[in-house]
Amino acid sequence: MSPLRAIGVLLALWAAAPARAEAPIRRFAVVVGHDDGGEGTRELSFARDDARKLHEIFTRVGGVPADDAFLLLNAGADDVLTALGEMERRARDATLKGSRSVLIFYYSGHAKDGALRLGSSKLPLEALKRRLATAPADVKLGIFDACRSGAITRTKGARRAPAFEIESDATRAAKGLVLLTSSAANEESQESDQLGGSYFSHHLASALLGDADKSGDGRVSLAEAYAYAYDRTVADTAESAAGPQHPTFSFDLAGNGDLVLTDVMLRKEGLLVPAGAPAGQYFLVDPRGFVVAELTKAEGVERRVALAQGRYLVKRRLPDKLRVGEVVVRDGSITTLDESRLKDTKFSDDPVKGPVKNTAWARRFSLSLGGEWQQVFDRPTQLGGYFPSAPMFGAEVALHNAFGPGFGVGLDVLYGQINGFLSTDAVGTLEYRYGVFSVGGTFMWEYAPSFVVPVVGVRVGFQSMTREFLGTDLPKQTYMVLTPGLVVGVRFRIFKGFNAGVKARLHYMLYNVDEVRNLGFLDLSAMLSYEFGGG
Amino acid sequence: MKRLAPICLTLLAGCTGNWSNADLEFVSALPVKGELQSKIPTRSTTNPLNGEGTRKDPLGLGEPSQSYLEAKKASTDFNALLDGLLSIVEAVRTLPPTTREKDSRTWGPFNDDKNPGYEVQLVIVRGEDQVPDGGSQPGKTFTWKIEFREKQGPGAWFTLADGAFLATGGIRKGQGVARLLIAENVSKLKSLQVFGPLALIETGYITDRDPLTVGMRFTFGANDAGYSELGYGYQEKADKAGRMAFGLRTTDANITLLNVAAGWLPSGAGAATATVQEGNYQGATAVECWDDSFKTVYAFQNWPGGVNLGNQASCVALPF
Repeated sequence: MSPLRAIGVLLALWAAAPARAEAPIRRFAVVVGHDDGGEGTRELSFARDDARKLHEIFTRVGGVPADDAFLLLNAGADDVLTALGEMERRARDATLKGSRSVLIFYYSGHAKDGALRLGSSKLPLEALKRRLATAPADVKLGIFDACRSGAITRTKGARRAPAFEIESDATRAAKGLVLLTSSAANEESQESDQLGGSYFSHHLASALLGDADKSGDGRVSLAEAYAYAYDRTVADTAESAAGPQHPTFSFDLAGNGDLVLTDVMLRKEGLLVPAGAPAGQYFLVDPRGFVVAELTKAEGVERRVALAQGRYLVKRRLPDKLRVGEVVVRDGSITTLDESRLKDTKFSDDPVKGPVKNTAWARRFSLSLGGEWQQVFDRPTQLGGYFPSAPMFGAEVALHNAFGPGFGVGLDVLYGQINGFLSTDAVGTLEYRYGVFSVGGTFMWEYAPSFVVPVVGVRVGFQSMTREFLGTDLPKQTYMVLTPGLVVGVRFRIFKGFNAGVKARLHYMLYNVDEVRNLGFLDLSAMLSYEFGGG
Repeated sequence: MKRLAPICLTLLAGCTGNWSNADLEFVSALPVKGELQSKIPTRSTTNPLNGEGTRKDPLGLGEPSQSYLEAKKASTDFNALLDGLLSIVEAVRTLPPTTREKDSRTWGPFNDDKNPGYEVQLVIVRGEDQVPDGGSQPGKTFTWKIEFREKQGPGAWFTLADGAFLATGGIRKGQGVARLLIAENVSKLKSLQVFGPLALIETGYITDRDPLTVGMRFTFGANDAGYSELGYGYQEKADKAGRMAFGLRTTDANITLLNVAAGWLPSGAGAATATVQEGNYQGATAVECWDDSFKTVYAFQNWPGGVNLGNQASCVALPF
């Protein structure tokens, strides 16, 4: 009897699996990641990263040839259906040639109102489910990491449980559909800055890389991966503001057998934590500071993680400190962790730096102070022009990344004053004092991760101007106008939260008292700003 | 579509205000009482002439100058009349025009509190350029009028005051005329009753050269004194030296109408010459000079019983 209690659903579909697999098996995968969910959704930070991660695992240790795995990033619904159709065609060909086939469909992104949201396009869940159910592959596995994705599993056979049950002694190869979702039909699916991905996909990936291999045979079955991802996802999100997130599964299968998703030993590549290493929770951190896999080690048990070649930091958390060390995984070789090379480190030196990426894109405020020259595109007032150019000073408050990475808003207030002379034929030359007050709102996009931050945007300003004629009793004149314009600028991160920058704003201004004239002005500004409130 | 475009742009741009170079030109065509009123020097800190214009004592050297006091009183009276002529103009000057056309501006109609049941408007029209008298460069011309009408109906507009101005460059520099039509409107507008027997006030002014020149003519209706017309002239140099000429009605049978010409230096010292136009002493003259503290330094009257005090050499030389 397997550790997983045998009752129902059975699959047997791994090429290297026991001899009950009578025919060769071909695996196909369509992996989709889309950060943009279109109208009414907030842009995700890691959906594409999740897709890249799972695509890499499926092709490296999941038995899916690279040529038979499509990775679609920020692609529309039509592209996804086209890719799915191509994989269906290949699965049909494989079947005709006597092979068994497995079709994996993975999606990370938004889902809303019963449909996957792929930018401005939609893919209804029910239609996709029917499509997968009727796809010409022996086994179809759908994995959906999206908000309320449990909607796709609730119609038939849906379960919200730590694990589904598998009959291990089955003899018949299975056929049918299995669906996994990251959350229930009424739950949000959450991302983590620390993990650099969604909770569900992160734990699923960690499971597939070996941590879910409870049997120790080097293979991670679907049941093992799901149980692992379920437990970790629920635990990690239990205290989150959005509430706990419960992955679900459903199946519609005939036949029996277990489905092995990855074989950690397939490439004989990765990290080996020897039996003599201390027990505990190990975190494997990539050079970007993101946790790529986790490993739970019991006392006296050897564990493997199928890491791709590369350089990693290994972190083990103790009650009062961290143990951290570097390991290098080389192509086609197993690296054994040497505990003696780990060093004690303070919690403040935690190598997990996921937030580094997200600080740049985190929502935060800034306050800017600066001065500018407003150059009005009009004749000089000595030649009968209406508005003079003037120096101005002011302040701006901005909320960065308010509408997704790079997209923010700003509110600015400016005041300027200058004396000048106005000449007209009948009046001669008059000296005036000119004052200008401006308040404006800017919708901007900026590329924040770098030292040099370029900014572009649109601004709508309200400008109020006055002029008094000195030494006369002529009435004071005023003019108020809305001025739409474009903004371009650059700022430099000079010290911690401080930025210095320059900006140019080109505005349209309508004049319509004496005559209708289309005027404009250019604001050239320099400012010093301080950012605060960011994560 | 051509009309719609600017309207749409206006709505889109949401602009409003009175920012206008042309408005300045129209407003500058209106006479300003502060510029046209006579300004006789006064020195309130050292002035010994408290109760000026009330002294009835005989002339005496070192006493406050009677002629200066008469000139000062005449200045105050004529300035008050000018104020009556221009008060409405002054009221609208500080307001933006209600209506702007290419060659005209209109302020109003406004309700007139002083004349219940009536409303008033000021219209300024820009005309063809003209070359001013004594000038070579053409200047812009403006005509203006203040009109009233009964609110009920409403009635037809009728003119209370009108004028014209030829701008020759500079703020309110040019040549202008204005008049107040009292007699034909006093039955409708109660506010005109303060002008008493006056039927018409006319003024002409030249402000684009030195000296500034203002002339006024007052036409009377029927009155007990039996006079029909009086004149007043005033000139002011840039350095504030000035002179004025006016007719003075008195109740003295010997001098019922005295023509006075007075002049002064910026320091205040001045002289006045008076000629009896009507009365028993018709044709007689008098001269009086005062120093910069407005005290008589020389007085001469050639009518019977007249005085001859001081030395004529004590009189200052007037610039014009």
